[in-house]
Amino acid sequence: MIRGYPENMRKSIENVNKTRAKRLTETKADLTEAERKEVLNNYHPDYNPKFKRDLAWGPNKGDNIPNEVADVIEAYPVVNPDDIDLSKIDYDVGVLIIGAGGAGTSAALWALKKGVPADKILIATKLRLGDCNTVMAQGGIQAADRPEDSPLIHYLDVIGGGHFDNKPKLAKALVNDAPKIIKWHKELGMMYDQNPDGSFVENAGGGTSRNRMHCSKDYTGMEIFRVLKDEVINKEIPVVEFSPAVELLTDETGRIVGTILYNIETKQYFVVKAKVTIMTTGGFGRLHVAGFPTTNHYGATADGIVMAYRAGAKLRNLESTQFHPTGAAFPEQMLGLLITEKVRSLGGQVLGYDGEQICYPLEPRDVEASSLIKCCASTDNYVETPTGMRGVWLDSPLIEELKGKGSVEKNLSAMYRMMQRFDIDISKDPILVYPTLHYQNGGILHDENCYSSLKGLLAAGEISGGVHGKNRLMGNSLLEVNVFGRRAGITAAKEYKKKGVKSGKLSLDHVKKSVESLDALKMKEIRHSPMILPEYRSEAVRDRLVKLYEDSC
Amino acid sequence: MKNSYFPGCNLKTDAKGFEQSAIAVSKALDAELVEMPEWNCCGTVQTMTADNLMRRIAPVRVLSRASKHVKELEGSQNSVTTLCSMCNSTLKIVNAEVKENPNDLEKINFQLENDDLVYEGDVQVKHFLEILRDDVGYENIAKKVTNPLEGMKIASYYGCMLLHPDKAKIDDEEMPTVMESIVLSLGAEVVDWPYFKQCCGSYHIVDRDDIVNSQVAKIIRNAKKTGANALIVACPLCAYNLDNQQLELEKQGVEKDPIPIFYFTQLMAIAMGLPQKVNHFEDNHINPKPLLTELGLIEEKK
Amino acid sequence: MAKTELKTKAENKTQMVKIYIMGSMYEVPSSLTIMKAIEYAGFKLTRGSGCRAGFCGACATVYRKEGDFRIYTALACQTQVEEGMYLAQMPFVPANKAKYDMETLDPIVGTMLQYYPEVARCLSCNACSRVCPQEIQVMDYVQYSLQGQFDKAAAVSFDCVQCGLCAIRCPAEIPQYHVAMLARRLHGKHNMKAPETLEKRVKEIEDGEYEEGFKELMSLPKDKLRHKYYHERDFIDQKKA
Repeated sequence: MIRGYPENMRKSIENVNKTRAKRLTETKADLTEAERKEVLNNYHPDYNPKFKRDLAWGPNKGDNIPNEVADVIEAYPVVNPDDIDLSKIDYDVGVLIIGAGGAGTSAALWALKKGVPADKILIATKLRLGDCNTVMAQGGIQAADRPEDSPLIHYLDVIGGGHFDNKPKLAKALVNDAPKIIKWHKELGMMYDQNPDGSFVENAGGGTSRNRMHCSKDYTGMEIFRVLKDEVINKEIPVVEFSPAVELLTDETGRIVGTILYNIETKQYFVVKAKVTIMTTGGFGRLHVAGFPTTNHYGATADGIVMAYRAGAKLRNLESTQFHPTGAAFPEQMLGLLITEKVRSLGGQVLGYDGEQICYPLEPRDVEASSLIKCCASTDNYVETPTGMRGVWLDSPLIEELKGKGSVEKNLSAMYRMMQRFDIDISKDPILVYPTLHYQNGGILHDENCYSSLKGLLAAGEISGGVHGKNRLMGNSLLEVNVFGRRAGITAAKEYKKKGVKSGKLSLDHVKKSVESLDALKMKEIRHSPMILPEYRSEAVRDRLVKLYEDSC
Repeated sequence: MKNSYFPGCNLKTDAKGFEQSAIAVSKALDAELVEMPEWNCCGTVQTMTADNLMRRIAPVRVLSRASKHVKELEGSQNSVTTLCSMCNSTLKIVNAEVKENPNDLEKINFQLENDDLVYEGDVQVKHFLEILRDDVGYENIAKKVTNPLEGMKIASYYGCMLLHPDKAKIDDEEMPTVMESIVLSLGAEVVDWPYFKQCCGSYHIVDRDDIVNSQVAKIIRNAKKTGANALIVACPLCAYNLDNQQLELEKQGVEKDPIPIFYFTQLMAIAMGLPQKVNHFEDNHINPKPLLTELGLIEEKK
Repeated sequence: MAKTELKTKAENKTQMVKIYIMGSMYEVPSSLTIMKAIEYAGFKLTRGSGCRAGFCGACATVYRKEGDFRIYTALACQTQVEEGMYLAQMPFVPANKAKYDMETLDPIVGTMLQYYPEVARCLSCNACSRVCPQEIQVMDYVQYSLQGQFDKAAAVSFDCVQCGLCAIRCPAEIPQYHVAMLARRLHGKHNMKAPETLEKRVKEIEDGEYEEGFKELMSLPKDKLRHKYYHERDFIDQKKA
């Protein structure tokens, strides 16, 4: 090992160092529409039929979705409806929020702001308040607030990036609310990076035609979330931790009227009755779609999708998974962890074994990821690690040349620290990367006010579908959780104040019905869901590495 | 000449006028105060318990950081300079005691070694008044005066900390002259008064302001009686007590016609014609500007 | 490459180390992180595993090594196992967070002392900085907070993942990471004002200035939209070939 890299990788790093001066002024053309199509069709896991199947039952029967997602939807409930005593209500609340990430906390704060008393709100979460993907988002949050930018330009970037499959009203809400969100964050005291003249630091993102990525170093999500969390505690909004929801409750009209929580430490069930329920449980990274490692947090297992689907909620765009182009491919200990797109926003290029650029570094994520997979799968211009993992270089030292000495440590301090722990100095040496499972593009169908297809159920954040179409752009997920979290909170407050809304008897009848549908499928493999937490014990730790290599290369 | 400067907490909050006027004055006199890049609280009264080494870590850490700083600072002497007399006292006492007890110093150094710090007892602690007296000299101060403080009758207030105990004192405890000499070199009149080291009440301001009030009343009455129209101090806590509590006494109807309290560096800045903004007079409780304007020492903007 | 072949390759390379989880010995592959090693040993984590990427502070770990008197700390997901580690997880830290109304606070030292008077008890022992798995100079930001220098406190504390190890080690019983949160919010709100362009844009949106444009864009057929996207966008900030 020489400064963190084995000798054979060092050889390739020499190539990278040699070409750097030349690459300072070299720009690679972005792909044409036809070229994009080619690389996506051939190399993106979304477009590979072997990773997918048609969903066998329910409102979205026939949708072609990833096998791992179908596995948890085509699965029997973990709760036996007959075991739960629904006559004893443990929490009777106005607004129930399932999931305590960015969307859930924003929703709670806005419901409160719009008149729901704190003690009539309940946030329930699987792990801790803040064990979520929001804290892990690094690069930034988009908002078109510069004079040379506009929400309309942002809109076009979003729609095109999503392959014109976004729900237009949702895309409009996303971009149009963005400046408002930044304003709200500033009122709360968040520290977005600013230039000496007081203007925001705004970077480029993949697929954006203007620099509008607001950031807090590469801890943007963490800064946003810790402030929201601080505020939730200040406002004394009740939070139940280590208590994931395992099923929703319906009444005889099919309206969502609460949930069953399961305390994973005491192994007890709790019945929650709620006037409005907001689903903000996030995405499905921990299902390891197509065998990929993931950037997601420990609890990202699609539980919300499973529960809502059993209750009859319609889904959208679940066929589409986002693979982040740059997950760490080395060292082995960091495999699959996010190397923020901000590295490329700041000028970092993606290079093969020979030290030459592979493609324009800021393509939309699906295109960029597919280009990197192509390089590793169908050429020999890749770098191999001692454990057999393939990857390509992300030239972070180039940033020092472009933005000045010390800019890597200053702007990418999380990345710098993470690699430093393994003796790699990313201001001097490049980072080995390979695409990693990052984001669930689709999810619960909802409208711009977050109403799902079910009465009494709202959805916001990564769990929802339609905002990003088939591909999300960088910086639009931190934006999404805030925009739709806020909107869900406001809608929930409206619903909470509505007089004469009757909720009937709490029941799990929809769960029983789902069991009947599943029985009719006569599945060979009997599975149960929601998963709650993924299984990593014993050999599974090592096997994942092998599986990744097999499936993706 | 440059001096490694340890500010202490108050200089960044309540006593900005003290710090900024002192820095401006130090530059004008070629004895620049350069702030240590990293510093922590001096430890204040906590360090008075001689048997508790834990309490000494803070001041020894300051001294070890200072020793690092003076080595890096070009043209610096081997000393760290303070403005607050409390910090000065704490650092001086601890410095003397760890030098006398190498075993104690070793134990404290065990706590610093992880931070790549070690203190070898090699730094001196000086109050800025000592720098002015010993390194700059009164004549050199007088040379820089462009706006002599004619009409000002100054009672120099030392408080307890500058003159006691032996390990910390900067001047003769019965007959100090440093502040008076500076006052003279600024062209002001010196008032000879017996209350120059009467305690201001110090920390009692937190829970027993009655004690502070009675001390302040005694000190101010004596100053006025001997003809002073202003007081100078060298400690943010003395300044606060004497300044704010005069107004409190006025409110209570005990005392009237409060007289302004200055840090000695503020008067130096005025006499040396330095920009007024360094004095932060807006932080003073008793507005000193009417007196200064009346004496023609500053021009009040209309 | 066949699966069996790969597995052999991986296994051939696997060196095992002995570690102690809450005092019990386990043999685990030396290439694993502490977190994965605990899972490898057979534990299904509920506490002590959050983001698994070094951002959430759930996996704070305290350990000693055989023959070494010092206490070490780490984030379990970011640290490779070593032979002879005695590990204890610290998934939760009791530390009071003051409750405050940001709207009413001034960015002055008095605010800090009102909500966290214990900052004045700091002994400058620096134990906090030494346990910080993010290598933050915790004591320095506590001191800056005590001095009312919130800009510096915010900058120094910025990378805090709120794992709470500092608060456990502090002999003065200060909840440093909560202190930092207040300092950052005071600084972010009062000393880092948003530029006027933001307020202007928000007003434009509220006044409906973009509604016409949206109506037009949203009614475009897909081929027109496609053309606009691929051929009419200008990239004024970025260099492109």
